[in-house]
Amino acid sequence: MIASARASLITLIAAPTAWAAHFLTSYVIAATACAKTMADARVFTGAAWPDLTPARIAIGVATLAALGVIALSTRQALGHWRDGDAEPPYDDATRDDRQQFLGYATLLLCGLSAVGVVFVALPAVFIGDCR
Amino acid sequence: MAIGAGVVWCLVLGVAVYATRIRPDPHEEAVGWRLILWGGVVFPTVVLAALLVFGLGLMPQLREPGEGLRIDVSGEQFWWRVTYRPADGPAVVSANEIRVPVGERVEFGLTSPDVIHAFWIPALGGKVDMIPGRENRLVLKAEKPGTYRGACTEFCGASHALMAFDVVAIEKAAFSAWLAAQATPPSPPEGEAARGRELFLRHGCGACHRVAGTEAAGEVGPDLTRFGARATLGAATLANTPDNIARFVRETGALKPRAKMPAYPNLPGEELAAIAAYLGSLK
Amino acid sequence: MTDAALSSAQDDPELRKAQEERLTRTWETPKGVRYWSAVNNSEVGLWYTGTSFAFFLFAGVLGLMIRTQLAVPGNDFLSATFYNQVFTLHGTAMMFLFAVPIFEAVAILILPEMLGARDLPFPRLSSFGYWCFLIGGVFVCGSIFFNAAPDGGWFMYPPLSTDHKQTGIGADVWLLGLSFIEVASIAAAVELIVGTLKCRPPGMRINLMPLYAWYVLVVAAMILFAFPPLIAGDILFEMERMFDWPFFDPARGGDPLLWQHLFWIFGHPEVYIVFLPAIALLAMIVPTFAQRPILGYSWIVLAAVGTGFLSFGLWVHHMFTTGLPSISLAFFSAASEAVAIPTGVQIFVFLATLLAGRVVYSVPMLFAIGALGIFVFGGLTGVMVALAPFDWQAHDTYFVVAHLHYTLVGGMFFPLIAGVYYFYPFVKDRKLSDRLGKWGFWLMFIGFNVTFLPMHVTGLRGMPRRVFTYAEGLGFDALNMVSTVGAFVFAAGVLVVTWDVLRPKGKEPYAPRNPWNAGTLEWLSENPGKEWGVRTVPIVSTRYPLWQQPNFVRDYDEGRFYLPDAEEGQRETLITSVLDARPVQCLRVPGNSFMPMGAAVLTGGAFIAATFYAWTLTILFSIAALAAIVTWLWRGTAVIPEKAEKDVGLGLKLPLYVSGPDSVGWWAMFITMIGDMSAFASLIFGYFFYWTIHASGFPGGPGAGPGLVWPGLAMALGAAAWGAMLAARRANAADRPQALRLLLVFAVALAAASAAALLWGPHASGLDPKSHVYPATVWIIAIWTAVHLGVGVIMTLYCLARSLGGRLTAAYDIDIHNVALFWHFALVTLGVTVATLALFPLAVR
Repeated sequence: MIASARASLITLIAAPTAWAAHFLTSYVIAATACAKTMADARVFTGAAWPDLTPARIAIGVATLAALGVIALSTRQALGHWRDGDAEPPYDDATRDDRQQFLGYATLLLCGLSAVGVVFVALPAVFIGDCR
Repeated sequence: MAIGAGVVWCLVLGVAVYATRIRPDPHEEAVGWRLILWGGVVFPTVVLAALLVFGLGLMPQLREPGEGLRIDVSGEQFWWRVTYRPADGPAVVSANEIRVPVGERVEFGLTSPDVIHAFWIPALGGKVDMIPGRENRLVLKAEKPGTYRGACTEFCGASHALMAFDVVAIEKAAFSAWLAAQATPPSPPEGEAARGRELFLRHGCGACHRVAGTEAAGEVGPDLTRFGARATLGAATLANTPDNIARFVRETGALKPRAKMPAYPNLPGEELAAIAAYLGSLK
Repeated sequence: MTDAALSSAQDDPELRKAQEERLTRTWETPKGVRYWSAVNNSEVGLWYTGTSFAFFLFAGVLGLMIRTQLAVPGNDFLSATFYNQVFTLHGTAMMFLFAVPIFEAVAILILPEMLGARDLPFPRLSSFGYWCFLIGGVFVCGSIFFNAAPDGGWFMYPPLSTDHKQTGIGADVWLLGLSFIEVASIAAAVELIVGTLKCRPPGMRINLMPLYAWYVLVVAAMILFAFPPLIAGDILFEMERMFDWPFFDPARGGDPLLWQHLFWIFGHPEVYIVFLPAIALLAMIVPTFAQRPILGYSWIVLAAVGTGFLSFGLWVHHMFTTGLPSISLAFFSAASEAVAIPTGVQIFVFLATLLAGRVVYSVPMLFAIGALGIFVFGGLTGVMVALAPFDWQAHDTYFVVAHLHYTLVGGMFFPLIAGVYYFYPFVKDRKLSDRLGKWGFWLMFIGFNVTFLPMHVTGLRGMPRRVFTYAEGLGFDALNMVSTVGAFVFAAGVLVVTWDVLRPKGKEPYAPRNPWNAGTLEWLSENPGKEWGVRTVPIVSTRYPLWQQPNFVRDYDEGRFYLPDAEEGQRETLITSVLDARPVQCLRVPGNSFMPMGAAVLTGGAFIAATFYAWTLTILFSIAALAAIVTWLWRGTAVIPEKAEKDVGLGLKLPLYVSGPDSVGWWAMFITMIGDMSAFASLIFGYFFYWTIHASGFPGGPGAGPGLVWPGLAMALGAAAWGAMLAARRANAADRPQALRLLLVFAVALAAASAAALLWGPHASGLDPKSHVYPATVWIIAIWTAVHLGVGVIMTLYCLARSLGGRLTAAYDIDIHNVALFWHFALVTLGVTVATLALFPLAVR
């Protein structure tokens, strides 16, 4: 996918897919950690809240991985964007315009996805236990 | 937040009206691009990030543990079972009214045996659901003495609208004294109230309701041990007056649709009056 | 493309006249009773739009009843129990019978002509979807006249709604009626995705697609991932209601929260499924009235795709008060803030386009600006409730009621009405009244704000939602009265617009062609309109061909592009490639038929019978529905044409029959199976959800699960069936019909044995689904997979019959390609099932 020279609908959604995977991974890591470390998640015990440090580290790693994928998608999209000599707004019925349009749209999605990944990683910075 | 939102709204609508009505002629495309970049991308990203950081920073401190007093509240169709669990001393059971000490972070343990309810005292803080099979907790602090209203906010059936409660915040010392006094049952009634007690027991009210110090020990419905001390009845549906008590017993379902308590339409008026007098005397 | 290159054969006016007559005859809408057998997108789209708007009016009346009841404290206009039916049905009908279907309705109505296509690829499927929607909708709404409407709120939380003592048949009406409609929605989504990807006119590369088509693509894809979780939830829910399987009963290990997860995994994307198509209408309207191309086409694509993804990360923000750990809530809070970014980008692209254009003011623009005003307000309160600490106050109060109405009315209803005023001349040949439009707008705009603005305060003062009454003196009285007055003003505005749409206009002149001077293909349509949809499938080389391609309209009218004729009297449209819209096939689309209606009636019968727990009737209806669908497929799909190729004009010859990934049927199967997999994934999510909440794992020792032997055997047999199917496809390609048939028989036998072994596992180990949620989950996943194997058996038998009937040959092999594709997915389903049920318990022991 990353090596593809031809921009497509699949390369377009690579970055948001990485966002979705990161989101799901972060949520599952944290939710499972809390559910499994509380003796029985559903009954109040009065004990201290379980600590989340390992889960936070895992989320950090997942964040770096997701940003890595987005960076790769960005690099590829830059390639697509520069592949040809079309001018914005890429509205001609040519291969170059199609390719560069997809590259440009992919770049925008990479930006949004990167912001999304950072937003979703912030909870792990601010919240340290299962309260 | 509200002011910021108002400013943003005015700016967006201002641009829209300007572009369509005030100066519909074309502007440079560059103006449009700047608008998209700064208005559509940079500004929202920065503001939303700031808001998010603010909100996330707030979250842990809103769930700090309490300071010792724990009150278990169980939401049931359509009333509240309240159990005080002081750090020292025995548990005290009550219903439909919660007393809290002023200035102390009180921890609520929230459960439900039937359907999902939600526990909310708007003046004191956020709400938390009461979900069968789970126990949630909520920590609240009343800053000032007074009576606050709480309500069920998760739709729970026919009488969802009629499931409220009063929260009475009193000074710490008064609260401790009040809680200690709950350990001894109220003194036996006299006169009409005594006859009311007899009727109360004879008609089998004790099968569902508990009145400490009598043989009424039912746990299906609200505990009535200190019923007379509450300002309202029927989970904050009516003011606690003898007439309303009689009405509630006579036409329960009409006042509170699908409540579990059966209505007693055939009780003679004077018997109802006696029962009302008895319940009102339980302070 | 120069004029000279375009077909000079079209110079002859006589020839053109003859062509037009043939096209008219071919695409003629039947008269009399047979009118209802029409399947063409313009008829089905119109019925669909009208029906969903009728449901909107019905739900609106329910809304007025709510407001009347709440006008004064302690009102007794409605009883508590009836009020609960009224508000439940108000929400249900607005969401499931209006907001989502109207997207499909409008898309079916306008998308083909926007893409220069004569119809969508599966007109009979659209028709089937419409009849399902009508039957299901009438069934759900009609229940209130028998005092049997659902009364648990539109999100039907268990245990309130699973308990027979609390809720009557209304809950079953909701679950089955809506499941039926959801199936129709998914069918429409499949149709629209294939339509957008494969039915574009030659030359319309992906960078030239109208923005509306981008939105349709994104929204239809979202439906594929959002609706199936709800269907999975519905299955669990009905299993609990009908057979007492304890999925949501905490006493037996279940958990009411799983429903909330599944419901909102559907429910939040659904908000965007409702919102994006309406914004898509604005994306067409704004450039037209700015009289220039959109400024920031790529940015809209970014926003549509980005919103599509981010909207799946918001669902728990409906569950902020369920007591989940803060960190879990925080992820959803973060995503809920992030989604505001692409939403904002769209609005600023519109503003920038207006700034850069010469704006023509009009009624559609009035509604568009009104929409902006309301929606931006709703979006800003949305940013607030996305913060968990704020939501803990606002959740389940009238603040949220106000917020959701601001987003939906501003984000969906006002743009829709803008679209009605904009597209009315396209659909009904005449313009609507400017005067009535302005009256309608101001009544609605003022009425709406008077109704819902005070509700923010009502909610923050402590009024919970879904209350049938409230006590006097709590600060709610005056605010509620104002809201009620506003609601009636709003309703008056709706009435004005409805009257404008419905009033007879026979004497008014037709609107001029392209009355708004728009740039996109649908405005090629003439007034009065022609039933053929498009005169000729044009060659497109710009985003706004009517503005940017010289002589375009004349060449189009003279039929100088593709398919100017219907020589064989068959309904035809062009199929092109996904990215670059190169022509690949001349598709014959099926004509009018009562079969889709019949199949819908029988399918509806099965669902309705199940509501009454009438099992014999359910089974009879199911068999009849299956027979009807098979007959429909047999007679109407993969028809072998009388010749291999056809001259579609301009010297281009295209095949009439293609199979495999080139064919629209293969794409439809592929896309359907994606939806199917997301329902399956939701069931698997349920399994692991239950595993997570049982801190000590599932109950019972090693022997408690279905074991290894039977699931392992099922896997082996299923893999063999899959292998036999692939070998059968190869045998067919090699033109060896005997080998093909033998292999198909093998595949059937192996698949049936696999399904039996899969079900035997939990049976042999004595798993009782009523005893605990663990066996119930094992059973439901095993049954799901066995049913898929069963469907595979039926499909394989169908291929066998087609081969015996001479309709499946080496050259004409659509059926076997599509069935083999199904088998790939069935194998994945089986593999995941066996891994989850048999291997996972070993791994975590």
